[in-house]
Amino acid sequence: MTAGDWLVALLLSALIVVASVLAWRSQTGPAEKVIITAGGKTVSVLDIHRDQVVDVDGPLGTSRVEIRGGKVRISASPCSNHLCILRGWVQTTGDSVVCLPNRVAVTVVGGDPYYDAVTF
Amino acid sequence: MQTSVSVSVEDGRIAALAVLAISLHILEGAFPSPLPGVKPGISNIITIMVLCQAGWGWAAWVSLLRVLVGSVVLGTFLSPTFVLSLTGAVTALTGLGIAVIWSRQVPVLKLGAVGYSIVASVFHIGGQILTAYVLFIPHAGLFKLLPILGGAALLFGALNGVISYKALELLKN
Repeated sequence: MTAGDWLVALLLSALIVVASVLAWRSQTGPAEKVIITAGGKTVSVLDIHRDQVVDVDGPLGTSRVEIRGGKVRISASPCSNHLCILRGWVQTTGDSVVCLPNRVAVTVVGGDPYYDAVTF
Repeated sequence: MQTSVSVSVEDGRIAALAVLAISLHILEGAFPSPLPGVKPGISNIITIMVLCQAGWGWAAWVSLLRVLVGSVVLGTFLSPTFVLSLTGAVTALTGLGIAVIWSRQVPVLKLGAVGYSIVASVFHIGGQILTAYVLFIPHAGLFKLLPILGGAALLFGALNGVISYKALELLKN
């Protein structure tokens, strides 16, 4: 190997390490809002930093959405298995709490929206 | 109507070298890949040897013919795989072009087979990741594959370079 070979090997290794570190830093923007949908329609968009409790009506009854301290959860639900309540508090952009039986979904948004996946 | 195409001796040589590269390309296609995008790229051994022996123009011909014919034989012509393969080859050749100019301008730090091979493989995967991001998977998560894909490119690039170097040594004797 020539000196030039070693040089490019070192430079490109360094480039890949730097690029990798940049890519692995967190890219989600700060959480800003909470979007509540019922039956596929957005019923309210709330500030995640303002503590409040909102009741959302679905086909089974009323789901209670609670926002407190920059986090959000479903605290009461008429569904039978309570998966939505067991999901607990969520606070990161892109996170969501979903109650399928009552067709209520709570999603945290903020920063730049990212795709989950695109398929062809 | 009859058209005739004159084939020079050089054309024949390029075609023969391309056949070697295509054979390695197809051979490689038969091996399972541990992860999409991670491939040894052994056909580039031929590209690097041609680059060192006959220059960039020949290497470009061999590389692009390999992509075209390889894709037709493997049945990926005009598919996303082909697009990625082609852009990878084009960016790799761009990188090699820069490296060749560098070697000419700065003879003290000129590159050998190993250096060229590493440049080619890293540019190859770089071009492919960017193409994949722009055309197929516009998600920032794609770049999380950088350490794996980049590391593999460095490793296989160096390995192919060493093989090219050894083969060139054998050719000299």
